[in-house]
Amino acid sequence: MAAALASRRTVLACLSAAALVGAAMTGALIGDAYVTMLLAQSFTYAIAAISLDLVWGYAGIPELGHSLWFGIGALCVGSMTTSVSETGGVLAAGADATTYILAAAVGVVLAAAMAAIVGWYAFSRGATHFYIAVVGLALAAAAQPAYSQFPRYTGGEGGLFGFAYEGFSNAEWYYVSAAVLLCVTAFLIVLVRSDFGLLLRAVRDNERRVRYLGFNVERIKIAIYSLGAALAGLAGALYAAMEGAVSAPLFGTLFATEMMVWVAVGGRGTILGPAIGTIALGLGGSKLSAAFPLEWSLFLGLALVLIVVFFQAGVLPPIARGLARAVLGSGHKAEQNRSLVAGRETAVPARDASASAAIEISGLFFAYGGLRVLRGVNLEILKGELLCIVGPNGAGKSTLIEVLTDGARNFAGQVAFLLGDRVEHQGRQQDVIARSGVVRKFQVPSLFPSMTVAEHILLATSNGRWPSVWRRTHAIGVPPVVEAICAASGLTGRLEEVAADLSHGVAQGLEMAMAVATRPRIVFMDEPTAGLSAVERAVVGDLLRVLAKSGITVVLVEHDLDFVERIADRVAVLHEGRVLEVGAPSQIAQSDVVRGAYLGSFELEKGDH
Amino acid sequence: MGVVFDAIFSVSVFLLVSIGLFVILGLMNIVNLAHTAFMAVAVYAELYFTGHGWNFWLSAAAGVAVTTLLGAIVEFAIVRRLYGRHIDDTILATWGVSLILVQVLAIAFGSTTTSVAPPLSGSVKFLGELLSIYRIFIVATVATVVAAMAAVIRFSKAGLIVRMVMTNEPLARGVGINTGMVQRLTFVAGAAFAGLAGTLLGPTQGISPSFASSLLASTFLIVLMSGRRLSGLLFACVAAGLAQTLFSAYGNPVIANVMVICTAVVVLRLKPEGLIWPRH
Amino acid sequence: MSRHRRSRAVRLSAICAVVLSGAWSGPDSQARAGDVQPIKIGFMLPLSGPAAGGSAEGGQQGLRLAVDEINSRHLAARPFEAIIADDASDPRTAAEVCKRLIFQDKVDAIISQGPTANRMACNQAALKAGIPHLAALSGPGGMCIANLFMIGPETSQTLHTLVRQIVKDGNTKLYYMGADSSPIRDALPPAMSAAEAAGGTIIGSSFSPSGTTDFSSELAKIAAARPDAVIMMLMGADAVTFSRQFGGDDRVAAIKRADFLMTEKALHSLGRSGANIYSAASYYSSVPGEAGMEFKASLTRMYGEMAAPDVWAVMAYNAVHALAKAVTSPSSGAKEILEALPNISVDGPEGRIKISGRYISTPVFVGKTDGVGRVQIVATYSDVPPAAHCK
Repeated sequence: MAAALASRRTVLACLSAAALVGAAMTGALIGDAYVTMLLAQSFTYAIAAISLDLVWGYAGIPELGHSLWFGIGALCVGSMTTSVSETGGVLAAGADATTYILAAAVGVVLAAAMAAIVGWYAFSRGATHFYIAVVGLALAAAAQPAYSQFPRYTGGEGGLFGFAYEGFSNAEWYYVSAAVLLCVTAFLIVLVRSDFGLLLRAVRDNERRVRYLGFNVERIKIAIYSLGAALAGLAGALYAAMEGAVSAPLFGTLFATEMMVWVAVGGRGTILGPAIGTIALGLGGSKLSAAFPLEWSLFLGLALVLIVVFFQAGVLPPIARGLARAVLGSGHKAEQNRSLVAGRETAVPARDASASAAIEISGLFFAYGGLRVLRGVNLEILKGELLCIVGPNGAGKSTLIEVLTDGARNFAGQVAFLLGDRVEHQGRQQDVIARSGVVRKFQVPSLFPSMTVAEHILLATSNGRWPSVWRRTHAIGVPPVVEAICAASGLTGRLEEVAADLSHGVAQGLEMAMAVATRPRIVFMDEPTAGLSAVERAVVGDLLRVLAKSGITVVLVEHDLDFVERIADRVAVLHEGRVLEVGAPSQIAQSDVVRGAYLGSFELEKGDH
Repeated sequence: MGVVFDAIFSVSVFLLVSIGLFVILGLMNIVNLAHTAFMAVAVYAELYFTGHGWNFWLSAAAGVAVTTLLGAIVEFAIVRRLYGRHIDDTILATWGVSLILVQVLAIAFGSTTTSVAPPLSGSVKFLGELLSIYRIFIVATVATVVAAMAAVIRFSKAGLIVRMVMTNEPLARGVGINTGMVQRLTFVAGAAFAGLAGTLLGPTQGISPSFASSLLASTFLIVLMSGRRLSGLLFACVAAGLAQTLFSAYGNPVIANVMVICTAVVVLRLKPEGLIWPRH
Repeated sequence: MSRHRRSRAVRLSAICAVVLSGAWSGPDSQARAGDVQPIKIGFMLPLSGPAAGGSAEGGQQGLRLAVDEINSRHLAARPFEAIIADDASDPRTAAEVCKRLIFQDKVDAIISQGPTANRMACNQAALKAGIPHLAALSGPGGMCIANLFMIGPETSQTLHTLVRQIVKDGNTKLYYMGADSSPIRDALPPAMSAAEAAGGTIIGSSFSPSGTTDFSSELAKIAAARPDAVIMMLMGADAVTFSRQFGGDDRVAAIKRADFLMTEKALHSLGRSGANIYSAASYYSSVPGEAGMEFKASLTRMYGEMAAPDVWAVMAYNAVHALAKAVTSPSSGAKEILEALPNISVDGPEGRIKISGRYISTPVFVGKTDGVGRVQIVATYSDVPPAAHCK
């Protein structure tokens, strides 16, 4: 516990939290009515800012229309506490506390529901990563003119006004909004530091890889987008109840951009940074804009440019790091706080003597655009075997794996998985396949640059189940063979290293460890020995044998025929998009057909088998 | 018939405003949110020079020159440092630039709305419709610019280089093209196009520092719809112009604005790669 | 390296602290011993952002001139001090600015110019604190809020006068071209009745959103409707954009125009495309009379070439003078001002205005631009009463 407290991150978090609480206290200490009000208002903005940080900073969703959700929350409160004429004139305003709470709840739910719909539309497959930005921008741009079209509910051009909740004094508003801000901040910090928070960063870093770990990325993104919207809606509702005014600009792109500025200044992906940044900008901004009314937006623009160009991480994180270093002294080392715990070996199912098929492939055709890569592959992959797929460059080996792990690809032919019930492959998404126990190791390591080795393995062990949104796992339960892979590839002592710093060989090891950590039933390995030395290669070979012995079906793409001969149960030779031969390694090594294929003199009319 | 001419004009305006954004996004992968601020600078330069007794055409040329120079300065000071960064960063930085430019204009010239007189007046009768000569001039200029650009891209060596950088920047660098220089020139060209758009549209608009800022969101979406092809841009502008004109004429202009935006949202969902001329 | 970084971070935070604290100690004025405390007026208007077009120059000049006059001629029982604040054309900022004016600068009254949403967002705090709020502009009427006074003609006063005048000049078929905002939509039915009472009709209407850059479709509709005159109710840059495109479009060349919201300067900048436009306002710089001349002369003395003696200047000027009249004793504060305001009249550059309820009765002038876009007054109506009656 003491060790955990000493970790730099925790210190940073404590310092920042202290600053936040300090800011919360100062208003009351100063006792200045204006500062109190200004802070109370900044707190509502800060809630909006950290909700945007969750969406943009953590999950990496480019959100250009966050103001929309703030506006919806505010409008719900405004609309439910005023009575308005047909043409938008406010006739009466104000209501009892219950109505405000109800209105805020409606606002939050409405924002979340609308965001879920927008997310469902914008994140579904076929849309590009940037599409959500387009939708956000478009919605915010359209909301502003559309606002005045419904004066009955929105008050039209002049907006709704005069409905501030009268039950609280300024100081009480201050405490209420501070309390809400602290709760939301605490909630989000727990969330982003939890195992689920890891998943968010993984989505931000490398969305495709997350899919192959069995996670339904769309659903994660929709959930986060919708949570961000709900919190922004809450901020908007709080703001409206406090200020008693809502109008079209609350929905507009200008406000959305301002929120992005708050987050960028405070530091993306830090939660506390944007919260403190927003409050500081609120206080400082009001002072500066009073002193320099004309030049203020000039300063803002200049500051924005400087921050984006020179302080990519925002202004606050470097300051906080400097403070932390001043407190702890330099040379403080991040210490290891996650470890692997090998589980007991699962009972090994004796290898099926009948050797029933795990995957049946017949007549598989696939093309990239006009380039026909697979031209009628027929192959049976048997349960528990170690099958090597060999073949010259361009034979379609990697493509075959690509198609077998993504049923949504547009292929022709029959592919069925027989793990338990017979399941047709056609149309099954990557994550569904991964969750059914079919995983892959990528040829070129595909990792999450900002995450540590331990975090990679932790994510992999969930195998597509959503990790806890509040717990932070320290002891990662893995199959024993994962530990062995880590030891063999030199990962054991480097669990806290960031993936971006790993060498190619070590990254290969991590890829493999991740694939196995999901406790798969079938694992596709695309060149696991590429970039390894002969000694390492031998170790990997042994590990693969161990895997196969534990009942996992291993399908291997490999170039090194000696290696293949040593470890494979069976070998399939792929050439020009077809399987030429399948058989024991020794049999293949002597095959004329195969030799011919490798020498490039093979004649097609000899057929597939 | 009048609707048709209005639609043609509307399409031309969209083309005129979006072409600068288009080259910058297409070649540099940078979203230039300062585009309409550049247009505002151009129109204020035009205003300044006409106010000092220059004739309109000279002032317009000066406006384009000033904007081009400004583009070079912004590229050198800021944009150069953003190459290869995430698109969010360029959005924020260019947004900052636009805040600065707009406020500098407000401080230097005041925020009062003014206007500048069009150099051509009068109309001609064509197919029973009276068409304003200045509008015909704008449509003709836009047509010329687009045609010239298409010709350059298709037939010249510069166009070949541009196409290479657009489709595969690392490869272009690999074969010895100075892609950095291409991008620098691109940004300056984008600014020059903004200057052209500002000075040409100036006489048809009320001029304030936030000049044309209402066009930013829709042109941005149009450029995304273009799929980084000139033909795509043409398509997208036609779609937006038609939506704008038809919904204004037979509905109301607010709906029209919203419809332009909706068109983009739907198109980009169905065709994420944009409206690309089908290739055979 | 790390030491270097640390010192940089420390320096950075030190700079931040200095800047912040420096900004903090701001321009708060200290009380001068012995003197009577000045009445502080907060003046909020859009100095930046899209709404900054109209009032920025004139409003500030009129306000400053009035404050100078009051202090030099001792027109009020307490000296006046003005604090100018930018609402950035944004209601959120407006709300914040007003809180600052009220709770930090401790103003005794607020004068505002700018969009309705900003005014109402601001008024929340003012109303709660019991601070009088004078809207120095012309805008929609019908709102009765305890602390909010409109020191300018409400829409019906100028619009109906204008409509009557146009119809009287023989233009019986009118077209209403408005900005898409509810006050302007709301103004249409009463304008219709006014037109009908004078013997004309409004035969069509369009509303366009703010920031419209292309009015072709609206112009086509107007050309098809063939009215005698168009009443333009567009705001800010849109009004100029519309006028430019109207002036350059021969389809509508024969149709007369009546503008409602453009400033004189904007009309003038239109040059020839701004010829023969009717308009109505409570002040034009060509208003005859001693007071008007003196007002212009004083502004020119203060601001030289930059002087902007426009309707915004006059309304801000009148608002300050109305406040001065309400400050009758050295103990007068916000409360006393609120009590006194409903019965005050001011002799301004345009003539006499009189607060009645929350609005004013005011002179209204109908003008028409000449060949170069300068407004010539064609009719004068003194003492036009407001339509709204607030208790």
